[in-house]
Amino acid sequence: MKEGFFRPREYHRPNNLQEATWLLSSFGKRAKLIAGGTDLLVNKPPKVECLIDVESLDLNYIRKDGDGIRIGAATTLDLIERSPMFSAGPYVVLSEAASNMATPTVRNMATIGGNICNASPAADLPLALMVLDSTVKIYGLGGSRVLPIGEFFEDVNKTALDEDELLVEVYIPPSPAGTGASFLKLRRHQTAIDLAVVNVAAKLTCSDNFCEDARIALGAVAKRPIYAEKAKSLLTGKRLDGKLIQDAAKVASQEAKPIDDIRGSAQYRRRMVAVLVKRALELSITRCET
Amino acid sequence: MTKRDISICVNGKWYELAVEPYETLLDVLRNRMGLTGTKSGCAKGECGACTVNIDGKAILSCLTLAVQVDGKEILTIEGLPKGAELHPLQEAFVKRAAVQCGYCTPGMIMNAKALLDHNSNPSEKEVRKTLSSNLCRCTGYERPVKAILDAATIMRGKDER
Amino acid sequence: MKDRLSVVGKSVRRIDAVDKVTGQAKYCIDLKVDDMLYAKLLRSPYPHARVTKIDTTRAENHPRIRAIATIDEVPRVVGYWWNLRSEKAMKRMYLQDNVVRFRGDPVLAVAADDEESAQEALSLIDVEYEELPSLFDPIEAMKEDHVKIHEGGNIAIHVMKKFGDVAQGFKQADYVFENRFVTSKQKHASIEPIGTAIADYDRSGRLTVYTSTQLPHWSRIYLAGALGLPVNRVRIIKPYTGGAFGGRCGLIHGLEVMCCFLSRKAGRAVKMSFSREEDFEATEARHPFIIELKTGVTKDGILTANSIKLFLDVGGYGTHYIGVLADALSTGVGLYRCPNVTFEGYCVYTNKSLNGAFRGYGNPQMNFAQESQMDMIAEKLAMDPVEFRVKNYRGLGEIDPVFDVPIRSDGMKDCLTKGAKKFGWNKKRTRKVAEGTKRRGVGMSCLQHGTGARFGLPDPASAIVMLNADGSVNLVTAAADDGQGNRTVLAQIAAEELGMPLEQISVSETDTDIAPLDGGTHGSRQTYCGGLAVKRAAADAKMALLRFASQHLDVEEENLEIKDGVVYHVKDRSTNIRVGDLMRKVQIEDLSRCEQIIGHASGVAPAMPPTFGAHFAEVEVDMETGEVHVVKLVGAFDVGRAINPAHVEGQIIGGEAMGIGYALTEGLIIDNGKIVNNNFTDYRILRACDVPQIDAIIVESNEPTGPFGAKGLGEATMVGTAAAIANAIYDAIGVRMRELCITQEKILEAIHRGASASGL
Repeated sequence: MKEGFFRPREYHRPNNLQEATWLLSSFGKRAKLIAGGTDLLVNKPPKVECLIDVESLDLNYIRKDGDGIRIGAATTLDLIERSPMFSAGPYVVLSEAASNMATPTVRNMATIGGNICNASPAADLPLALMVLDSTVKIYGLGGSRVLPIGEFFEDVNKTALDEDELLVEVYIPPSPAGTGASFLKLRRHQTAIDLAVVNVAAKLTCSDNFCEDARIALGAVAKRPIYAEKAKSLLTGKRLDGKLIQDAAKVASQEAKPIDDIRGSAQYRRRMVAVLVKRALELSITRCET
Repeated sequence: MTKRDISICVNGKWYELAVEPYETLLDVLRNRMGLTGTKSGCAKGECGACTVNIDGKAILSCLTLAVQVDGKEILTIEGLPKGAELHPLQEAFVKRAAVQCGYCTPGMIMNAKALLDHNSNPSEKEVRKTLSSNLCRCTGYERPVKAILDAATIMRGKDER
Repeated sequence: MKDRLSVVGKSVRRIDAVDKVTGQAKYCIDLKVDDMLYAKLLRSPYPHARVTKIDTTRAENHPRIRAIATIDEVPRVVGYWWNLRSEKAMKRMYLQDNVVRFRGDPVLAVAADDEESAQEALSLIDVEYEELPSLFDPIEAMKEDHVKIHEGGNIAIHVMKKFGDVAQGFKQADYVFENRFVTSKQKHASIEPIGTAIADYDRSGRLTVYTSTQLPHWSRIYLAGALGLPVNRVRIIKPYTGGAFGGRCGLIHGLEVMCCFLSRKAGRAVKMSFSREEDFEATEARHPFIIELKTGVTKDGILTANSIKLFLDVGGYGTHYIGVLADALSTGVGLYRCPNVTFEGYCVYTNKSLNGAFRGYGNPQMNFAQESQMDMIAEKLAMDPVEFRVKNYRGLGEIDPVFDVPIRSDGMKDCLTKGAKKFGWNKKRTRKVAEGTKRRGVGMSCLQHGTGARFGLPDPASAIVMLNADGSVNLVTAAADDGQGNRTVLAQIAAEELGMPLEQISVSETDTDIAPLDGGTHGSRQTYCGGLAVKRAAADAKMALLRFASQHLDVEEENLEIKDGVVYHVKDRSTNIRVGDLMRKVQIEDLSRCEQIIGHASGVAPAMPPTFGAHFAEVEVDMETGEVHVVKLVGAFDVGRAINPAHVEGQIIGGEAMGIGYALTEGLIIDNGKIVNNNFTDYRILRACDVPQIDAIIVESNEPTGPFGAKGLGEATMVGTAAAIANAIYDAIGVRMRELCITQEKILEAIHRGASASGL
């Protein structure tokens, strides 16, 4: 039971980013941004004095930028799930991750920014963004800065944002030809809607079964979503075959640092990393050809 | 005084209210406006019993602050019938015996309404996927799914006429 | 069994469906009373402690706090049902002490002008506890002499029943199977949280309580006793209920009784509403069982002996444990023909939240063990599991030894054969399906579940049928409808018996001030027990009606019948009178009479007819992850007669879905006395995309003692689901899962261990 209650006394809906960051820096820890509310109003943290709504900041968009795509932080997950921009090619991994989150009604409200900033170690979206080499744009009193998504997550529910900063955009760069990506989520059985026991995203760029580049991201097995760097190194520059995939999967499972919790034991999770990585790689290979 | 003035349109009628920043839309509908048809099942967005429609979307009112919907149009279960005539979804739920204890029913119907407003011919799979936002402990979902498909057929028929 | 019934046997619309789909139906949580206060409980953070000090001074000075009630003055209502039978025993129902026995056990309640203030007030109250050692394991608690959770010790009851001579029986067996099974603490998780109550103790000493209890009349008596009021000054009104499943089978721990005391103190109505977390953490759940089962069988497949030893985890307080234990007899002793049985049960207190009634009571637990064991036996004998059941179940004409009564209707064979056929049992069984990492398997189970509690508890049902001057009918009943639709079914029975159209029957509110004594909605009893009372009351009214009609039409009563609201001469239809016209004359126009027809009935049903059933399950197991998915389920049930087939189907599908949860996804997880999965993310009930194809088969065996042949159903629908699934898993991967719930980790572990069929 939490001490204290969720009783903010002020609610603001700033019209521009300057106003938003000014509010954030004035209130510091006593302020919370609110977008869809699907994390904030579940957690209802005490000692929040001020709510800052992102609704009027014009951050709800999905647009092409050259060959890349920009997604506003306040874009709801249902739009990402259904966007024709993510219906083919390696971007499919993003719509797969989005469609696997929570329930459809929650996805009508939850935003990509809110999800990323909540920084749950078991989050689905970050894994897809990580394998796509996404970057995030952050805005603060000092202006904007850009970070690779992998550096945005610092710890459980902790991001690289300073008190005066907010996430404004996610950028997804183009992928080279011959790239296939996939997202897999292992839940507790007979429940299609669940938090991940283990989740995994993989991306391969290959030609004729030769792996030019690889990305593997693991979720729910560390304090934050992580890249399986050793597994990636094992694959890069090699001919892909069943044994190599098996080995890479095993190496990835050794890179995981899972814990025991209500959804699964550490031992089981480690085993499942290997299973999921193998399956995700196999799936990604078939998608390279398309 | 921390209350804020808001204007919300509920079931076609505008209301002026003074609300605290932390009051949810669910609180306001049920406790301030006496519209108890929208239910509270978990207060955490997991059960879907609190589902309403805002801008044609199915929205969880327990995870929406009243201040966030200032100026918006909200549709609740009470707003579905046209005078004495029930909405085809309501009729279908009755006809198909899709209602047992009825506690999840308003949430299911409001969710289904948003679905059918966007997709007039959903497959059973699509209906089940949408309905996965609503927990039901009585029916096993079989008849509610059938009712929604029935309603879709009827609504398409009405449109074609 | 096709006969000329007009209303019974038809899937008529529920009489309350429109209220529900329009949002007009009011549940307890929706109700308001003028000038009402809001209450909250302060709950113990310790699993076992003595409350040594309660200082309410700061809270009392809070301007919006109106009353405080503590466990020093408010009794806990426990073990009620069994103690109801004697006035002396009733005193044992009210436990008054300063010990808290589980984490979340209420210590006191506060009533305030608004919810916020009530919540704030809790932090203004200082409570001091003397922590006591806690016991979480029932086996440990049983052996423990020094730490006593209750005065009489930790064993709430020990029962031993013997039939025949098991030692002899095992000697006669060619094979003996011995296994240990464990089941889980399942939670009702009804979508309306358990629970909300409003108590209004008015200035003239009359108490009205709005609560969604399954047992309005018994709850009325419990509360009257708690407050020292005569029963007629206590009124229970049950509004619409958002699902019960046994979770509201009496009073809710700390809810109604606290509200009543607060209301009396404050002189105003008091409403208390538990959060979903409180529902998960501190209200009744299904008793976990440990089952030690030893069964002997001849090589021809005849059962010779069955030794059953059960350990029930009661939790901090006992409410339903005796009945739950007794209910296991249904499967353990009643279901199969076996001359030598011992049945031993221990119900043990532990410092965890209390356990109580839950759909099936003790039968799903026992059935999981017994039907898994029978599956092992059938395999050893190389017998079709269906054939084995047909050979051994106790059926028509046989005496059920549990209550020493004959079985008068028996649809088991139909359930088994129709179920097997619909499922494709023979084909699926002989075809081994393995595709990549997936393996499929099939399994089945059968069951028997008694209707009502005639031979175990006070089990009254009453009804009043009032004919109005226009021929319309008011049916007055205290039957609590929690979503099953019993009020609709009772209206159908009344309409059929009277010969009136269903639209002319209106059913009363569930209000103890106007509706006569009823044993409540539990034990799948309302259609059968409630239905019999309604049928008798309607017959009573019909007799009076025909007497008047006879006088009016100058025709002998035996030559009259009522159809569609008109009294006809059986041979000459032109001689008739509308019931409405007749009633107008009798009730209003004839100034010398002005007599209303009031049919009534009250009493018990003559039997507890068992409902038979069979489940067939097909599962798919992922050998790499251990995940199990149920891909198809068939449930066939003998309901005697389906008064409303749509209702019956609804119960079957809903019950099976709950059964899948019991097998694979549900179970409260307790860590050091704390329930850690107190939300719908981690306590997983099935969603629309999780439910497999479920086929419902209705079998009608025409129970002679039942209203139009009907008997119960509500609970039977999930009694055998877990065993069918466990047996299917065995078929798929050769591993026996003996513990619920079956998780993918346990499956993977078992696959890796390469556990064999007869080992552990």
